[in-house]
Formats: sequence, structure tokens, C-alpha cells
Amino acid sequence: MAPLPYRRTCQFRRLWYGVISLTSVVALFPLIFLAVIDYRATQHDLESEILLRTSRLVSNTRRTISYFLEERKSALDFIIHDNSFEQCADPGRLASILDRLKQTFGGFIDLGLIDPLGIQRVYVGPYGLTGKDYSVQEWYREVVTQGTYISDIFLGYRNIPHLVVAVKYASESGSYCVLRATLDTKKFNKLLSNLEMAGEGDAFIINHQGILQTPSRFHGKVFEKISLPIPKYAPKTRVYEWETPEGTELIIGYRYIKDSPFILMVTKQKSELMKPWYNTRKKLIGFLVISMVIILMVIFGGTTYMVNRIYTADQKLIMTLHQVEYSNKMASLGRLAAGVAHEINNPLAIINEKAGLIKDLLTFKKEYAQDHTLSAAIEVILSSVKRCGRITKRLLGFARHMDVSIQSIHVGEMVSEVLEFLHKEAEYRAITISLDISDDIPQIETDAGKLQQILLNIINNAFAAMEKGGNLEISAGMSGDDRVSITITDDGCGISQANLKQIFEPFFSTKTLAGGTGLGLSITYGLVQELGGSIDVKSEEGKGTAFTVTLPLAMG
Amino acid sequence: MLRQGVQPDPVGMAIELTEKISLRLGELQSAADRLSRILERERERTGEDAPRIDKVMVSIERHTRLLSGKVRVVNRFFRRIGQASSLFDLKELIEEAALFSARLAHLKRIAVTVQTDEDLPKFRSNPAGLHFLVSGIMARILTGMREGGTLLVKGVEQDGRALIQVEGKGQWKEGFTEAVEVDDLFRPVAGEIPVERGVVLSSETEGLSVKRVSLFLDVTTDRSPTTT
Repeated sequence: MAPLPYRRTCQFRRLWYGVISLTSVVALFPLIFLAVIDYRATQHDLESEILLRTSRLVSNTRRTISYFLEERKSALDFIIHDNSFEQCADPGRLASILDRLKQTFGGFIDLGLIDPLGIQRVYVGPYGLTGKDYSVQEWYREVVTQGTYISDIFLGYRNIPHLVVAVKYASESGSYCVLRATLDTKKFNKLLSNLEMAGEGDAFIINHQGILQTPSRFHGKVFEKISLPIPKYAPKTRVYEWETPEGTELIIGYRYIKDSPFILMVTKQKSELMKPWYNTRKKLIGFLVISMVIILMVIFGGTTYMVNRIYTADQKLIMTLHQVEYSNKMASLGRLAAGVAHEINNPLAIINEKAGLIKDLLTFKKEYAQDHTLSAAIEVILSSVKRCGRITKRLLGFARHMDVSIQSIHVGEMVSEVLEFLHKEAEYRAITISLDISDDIPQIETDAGKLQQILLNIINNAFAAMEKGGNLEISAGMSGDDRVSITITDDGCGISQANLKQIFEPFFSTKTLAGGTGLGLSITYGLVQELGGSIDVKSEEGKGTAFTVTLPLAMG
Repeated sequence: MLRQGVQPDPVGMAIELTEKISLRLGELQSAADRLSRILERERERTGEDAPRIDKVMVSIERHTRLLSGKVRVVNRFFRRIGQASSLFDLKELIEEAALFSARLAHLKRIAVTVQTDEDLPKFRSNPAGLHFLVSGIMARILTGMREGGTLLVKGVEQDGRALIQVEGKGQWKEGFTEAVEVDDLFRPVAGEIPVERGVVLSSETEGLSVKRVSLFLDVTTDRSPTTT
């Protein structure tokens, strides 16, 4: 079984751990819980906002592009319906129309009128394309079938990227013609390059095969295939997250542009868009960590202080209980010893009486009067009885001192009485004891048993500290008008300054392995206080120690 | 070396004093033996005083032996009492408790008889606690009795348990209820005696004159050869 002080210390350590753990959990759990909820909610809101903004950007841009194309298609439709075939076939008039289109809408490069055979009858523009045969061209077949057509970007006869918008006009007689216009891709590209996008954004157009129709910042040049997957068709704007093989997270928004081969795509780097959130997150985590540290410091400090207070109070209680238990035990032993002393005294008295009777018998007979052997034997008996009586008397006196009683005590006599118990040990260890008890000390009114115990304990301690041949000095004198001081000085090993502060604390001992419980000086301290006195200690390691007990002349 | 480990030792002082008394009693015994031998040798000279001297010498030797026995018991008691827990002989404990009750019994002219089994087993406990309990039971019974009467203290082994029984026989003071007294005694020492190991305290009355208190101790686990 572990020694009691160790077990008690463990109990307080467990209490300390328990309180720290419990209060930490109670204080930190709600804080961490709320912080996590707030973290996730804020992150979710920000991500939603990013997705919403991207979606809005895609929708608005799509509207602009659709309007651009629709506007030009409508213009061609108006021209072909407002002018007869003959008027359109007039190169001068067609050139005039092209000029007006350039001035009004912009973006037109040329105009051409194509007959039902697919031959471009009239052409106005910078390239000499009159008479070109478009009958086998995909776009031509498409416009003949559908009535209108918007091509994707292609090189064509001019070998320059361009796109074509064409409308078909069918007369009541069943014949038809196609009015075709080439649009400037620079104007088309400008629609996207003007966009202001945060987060390393990129806006571009691809066709349904994933071929870039406009230049892209990050995904290639015109006519190159994009590295991103081609988004599935959806009638409305869609935004989704996608991670590149390199690990870059992208926010991608797209929209299929109606009546055209185009898909508008907008990409943004999520890490760039989330930068404000990362800063906020840093602050949030920093605030959380600082709060936790402060809370833990308060809990740690408060708990340590409280447990220390409880520990100190517990130590005082234990010391008090020990003193009460000790006093009770001493009182019981005292009564017991007193009873035994009486039991010893009675037979001693009988032996004394019987030995006296024989002495009388033999003394009055003249034949024995000169027998020294007989008288010596009788004297040994009588002196042994006398010595036994004296020892029994000491036992009785000692027993009386064990019980609580206020008596008038002569300090010098009390010191001598205590030294009688120890003189054998002093002789054996060649310890020199010198007394310096002042003559002017009056008798003091105090508890003799307790004072005896105080002196015995301190002298015992001094004996334990001294080597063979040590010197012990006991001096006593008045301290002021109403107090007596007794100083016990040894030239033993002394006490270190670090230990000096703790020697009166219960359970403090450097001899626990040798069986010390660390209660001796703490009990002495308690006994001195009970007598209304004080105890002081001065010590130097290797030189010795002096304990001074100061007591009032009369207990209050 | 710090000196806090040194304990106040009134028990040690009591041991020292009883040993000193033993030493003196030894000297006394030796002197008495020497005197007896001389007087035996000089028997023709003592003449008519010889029977009287013999009687006195027998008395001296008897009282010296008695005293030595008592002091030995007291010394043994003090040697054990300072320990927090030890394995000790219940027979010795009963012998000591009887000695400490002798004065009260003597004052009330109550005859004390001790009956113990020779092989009464050992028991591990706080000696002071158990001693207090047994001595207390004897003292309470003695206090409850009027003058005259007898006190029987038995120590026997019964069903694998040790039984210490104190039986008072005689006239009793009014209002004396041994059960209440026993409860009062047991309460303060209950923590020091291993109750969980089968300590049972009971009291009973037989007619008007006999009151008996029995203390059962479970000693089955204490038969090791360890000594105090």
C-alpha cells in the first residue's frame, strides 16, 4: 500500500486533472462548436456567392453575345426582304447597304448574294469572291434547309478566321437566294475581352466539338481544343466546380447560345476567389486559438489556485486531526501507565516492607549484627526497591504529563527531566550537553506534557542531526517581560535554505525511506501554537541548527 | 540530512522506563536469591525465627516474580502499541488487557479470571485500536458491575474464528445496558480494525446476573508465521 501522504497527493493531483479537464471541456466545447458552425456557414455562404456571381456573369455575357448575333441576323433578314433580288444583285446598291451596316452595327466585313446553285453572284467586300461556288459548303446546305444560319469560326476561301451569318429568301415563284455576311471576329472577341473578372478569370467561346472560337487566357488559341471537358447541354446557365489534373480547383460557368454553334464558358480559379475567405479564416482561427489559450490559462491558474487552497486546508485539517488523535492517544497511554505504575508500586511496597522486616529481625540479633554479607544483601534489596520506586514515580510523572493539565513549571527542571530520558544515548554517542538556564526565569503556567513533548522532539531532532561527539547547547532566558525563550542549538549537519521553508509542513521529510512520516516538526509547531508561543529556526548547512521556542509566562 | 523524520516517542520512553524497572527487579531477585541461600546455610543460627524468615523470603520472591511478569507484559504492550498495524498474539492482548483492568477490578473486589487457548491464532490489526476495544469492553463491564462478582475473559478458537469473550457475573448497576456501551466503544475504533475481515461484536444477557460481550475475529488469513 502506498504511504498515506503519497496517496493524498495523488488524490489532489487527480482532483486537479479532473477539474481542469471538466472545466476545459465545458468552456471550450461550446466555443469550438460555434466556431466550427460559423466557419462552415461563412465558407458555404462565400462559395454560394462565388457560384452566383459566376452564373450571373455567364448569363449577362450570353445575352450580349446573343444580342450581337441576333441583331446582325435580323439586319440581313430585313435587307433581303426589303429589297428585291434584282436590287440585291446590284453591286452598287449592295455596297451601299454594306456601308450602312458597317456604320450602324459595325462588325460587318463583306456581303454576298448567292443564287440557288450556290454560286456567289454578287460580292462586295475586300476579297475577290465573286463567282465562288458554295454549293458543297456545309453552311450553305444548312441555310438552304433552315432559312438562317450562323457558322462557327472558320478560315474559308480567304484563309482568315471569320464567321458567317446567312439568311435565305424564298420568292412566291419558288426560287430563292441567300444573303450572306461575314462578321469581324475581332469585334466578336472584344465582347469577351472587355469583361472584368476577378480570380484569374477566363471567358471564351467554344463550339460543340470543344474547339476554341475565341482566344483564351489559359486554355489555348483559336481553333485549339480546350483541355476542359465539353459541358453537357443545358437550356439554362450552369456553374460547377472542377479540379484540373494539376490540382487547381476551378469554378466553371457555361451556357449554350441558342441558334448558334457556340458555348460560352467562364472559368475562375477558386483559390483566388476564396482569398478574402482565407484571410477571414486566418483571423477566425487566430481569434479562436487566442480565446482558447486565455480560457485555458484562466482555468489552469484558477484551478491550481483553488486546488492548492483545498490542499493546504486539507493539510491543516490532517495536522489538526493528527494532533487531536495524538493528544487522545497520549492521554489514554498516560492513564494506562498511571494504572500500571500503581500496580507496580503496591508489590514494591510489600517487598520493601518484607525486606525491612528481615532487616529488623537480623539487626536486633547480635549474632547477625556483624554479618556484612547478610546486611549487604538486604541493602541491595532495599536499594533496588527504592530505585524501582523512583523509576515508577517517573513513569507516573510521565503519565501525568501525557494528560492535558496546566501546571506551574520550572523551565530548568523540565529541561533536566527531558534530558534524563536521553542521557544514555548522549553517553553512547559522546554528545556533550551544556545548559545555560537563567536564574531569573519565573515558573511558567503551561501544559507540562506538551512542553515536555516539544523539548523532547526538538532535542531528538538535534541528536539525529549530530555525528558522534557532537555538542548540544540548551539555553533559556526571559524574552521581554512576559515571555520565556528556550534555544536548542546543535552543531550537526544543518538544514538547507530550500528545506528550511518547509520543515514545519506536514508530511515534509527527507527521511521517508528511513521510516519518517514527516509529522514530527509539524506536530511540534502545532503544540507550540497551542501553548500560545512561537517557534523559530536558524540553520546553516554543515554548521548546525538553532531552534528557539518562545512561550508566554501564563497561557491566555 | 533533515531531521523531520524523528518522531516524538512517549511510547519509547515508557519502554525505556519499564526496561529500567526490569533491570532493577533483576538485581532485586538476585539479591533475594543470595539472601535465601545465606539464610539456608545459616539455618541453625536463625533458630526459632527460621519459619518466619522463610515465609517472608517466599513472599519477597513471589512478589518479585509477579512484578517482573507485570513489567514484562507492560513492556511488551508498549513495544507493540506504537505500530500502525501488526500481526500479534491475541492471547498476549487478553493478558495485557486483564492486567490493565486489574486495578479497577481490585478496587471493586471483582475476581478476574483469564482463560485462553494455548494455540489461539494471531490477528493482523491496529494493536492500539483492538487493545482499546478489548480493554474498553472489560472496563465498561467492570464499571457496570456492583462490588463483588466475577469477570471471566475467554480467548478461544471457534469455527475458524477467534472469539474474545468478556463475561461479567454479579449484581449490576441500574440502567446499565451493555449493548449501548459496546456500540459507543466500537464506533471510534471501527476504522482501525479491519471490519471487512469478519469482525463481529455482539452482546447478550443471561438471566439477571450474567452479561456477556463477544468479539469474533476472522483469523483464517492470518496463520502466517510472521511475528510482531
